[in-house]
Amino acid sequence: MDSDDEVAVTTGQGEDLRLPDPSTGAKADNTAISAEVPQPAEGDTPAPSDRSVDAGGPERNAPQNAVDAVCLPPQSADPHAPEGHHGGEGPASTPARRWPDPSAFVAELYGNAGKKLELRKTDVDDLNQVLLERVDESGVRWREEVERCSQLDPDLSVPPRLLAAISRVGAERSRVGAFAGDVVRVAMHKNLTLATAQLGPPRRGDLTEAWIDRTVAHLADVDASVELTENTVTSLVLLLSVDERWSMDRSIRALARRIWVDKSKRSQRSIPLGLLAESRTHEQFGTIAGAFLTEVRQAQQAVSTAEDGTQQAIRRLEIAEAERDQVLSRQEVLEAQLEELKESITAVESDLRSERESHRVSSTHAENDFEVLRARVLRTIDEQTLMLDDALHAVRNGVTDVTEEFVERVIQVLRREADALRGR
Amino acid sequence: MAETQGRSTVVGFDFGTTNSLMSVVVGDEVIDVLDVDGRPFPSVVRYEGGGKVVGRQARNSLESAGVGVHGTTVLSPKFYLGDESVNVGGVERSPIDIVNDVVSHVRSESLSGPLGGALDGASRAVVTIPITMNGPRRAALRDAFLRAD
Repeated sequence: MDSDDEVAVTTGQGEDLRLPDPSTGAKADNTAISAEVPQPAEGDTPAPSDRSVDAGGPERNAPQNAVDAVCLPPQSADPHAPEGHHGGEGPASTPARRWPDPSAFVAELYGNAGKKLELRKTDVDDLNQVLLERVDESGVRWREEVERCSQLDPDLSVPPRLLAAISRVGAERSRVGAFAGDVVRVAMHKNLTLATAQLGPPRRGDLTEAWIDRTVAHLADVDASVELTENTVTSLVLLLSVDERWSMDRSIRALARRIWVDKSKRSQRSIPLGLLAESRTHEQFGTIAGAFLTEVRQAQQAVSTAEDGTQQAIRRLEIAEAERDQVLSRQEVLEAQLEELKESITAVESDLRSERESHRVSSTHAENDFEVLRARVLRTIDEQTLMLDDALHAVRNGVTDVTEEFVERVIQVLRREADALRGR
Repeated sequence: MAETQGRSTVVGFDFGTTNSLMSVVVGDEVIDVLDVDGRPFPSVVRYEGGGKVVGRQARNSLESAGVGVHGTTVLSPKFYLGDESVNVGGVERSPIDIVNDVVSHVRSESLSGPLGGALDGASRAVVTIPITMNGPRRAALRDAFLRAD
């Protein structure tokens, strides 16, 4: 690792952090943290006692003395020792291991609490062999060792360091990576249970982003320290990034939302631009910035799409309003026409009633005139018939002058009636 | 008041001593509703057993008779209004009933006659009375008309 490429993104203990990239499986080199961590000079070979701890950072907050007293790295872990004598279990031909068993790795891990953990590829291979050879008889012992040592690490400063170191060498998906995850889970289970008395074990497969939020909420409820909270979140995100194959962008957003942003807000000073410009960690900043730029571009695209949709909706609304206005105008015209038709109907009905009444009156008058005429003519006929009957009786009795007089009267009456019928 | 097609008609009823008839104003003319011979209806009633004959047919049977009760025939029943009863052929009859018989006859014959259509919707009548007719006689006349159906 080139120390110039490390980014100052600190865990609760100022430890370096490198996020894995599950999509490629390649090392996300230099996504590291803690620029202040001194690195060994190139070509330097650390002293045997320093092989597992590469230039430890400021030993702050960690109960260094207590850890050292209980969880010292075994002296026999020196890989340059002339022969392997780690517990004497292995055959004489077995090459010397840096750690004779997983418990020794745990003891060294916690014995150097507060310092940056640096693992090399050879260390990973070494530990892999140890896990292969000693897994059966050491499965219980290393868990007990983790539980014992993690009590001396109340802020959970070791788990993020371990995961960061595994990530730096790209061993997240190896046996060693799985072992490291298990160590972290056991430590977190022990410490978080003690801290909150509510959280269940963060077993593999149980972790979700919601679980992280719930854990943070519980820690806030019990007024947990900032370091404990940040180390917990960092460890959980690193575990999730491996278990759930989170993308780099998602992991960065998870850390930023839960740690970095709050940490920036808590800071009472702003970082001078010149300091940022002189930073040698542009690649790391670029990775982080790229993640957020991607998010910004996606948000801008969403905004653009939403704006397009809004414009289309506005256009549709304008068209609908225009159509509505046309319909309303047409409705007004039709209503006016309807009123005119109603008035016409009323007038026609009135005219019809008048016409019917006029017809009734005329008809009644005509009938009355006819009846009067008929009655008069009938009376005349009856009267003149009697007169002619008397005249006939006179003729039969030889009184012709009476007959002549009666007939003349009848003729006169009939002529008057005929003239009356003619309208004279 | 009855109405026919939104129109109500009030008729005039001349209940005379000798004859009776109904008249109605149609337009600006007065229409007299007469019988088929063009004459008013005689105010005469003749009782025959359980039946009765009213109008022209009853009048013809007493061509020369004067006012009053002649056997079973009553001429000018208007004069008996106000009396308790009238003895007609040995039977005590109410003057109101006798008048009602004449009014009902005139009404039915007028409605079924040639000018009956002019009476459509007629349910009320203005009745002429002699100026000397007093209160009880007027009330009796009103009762007789109200009984006419």
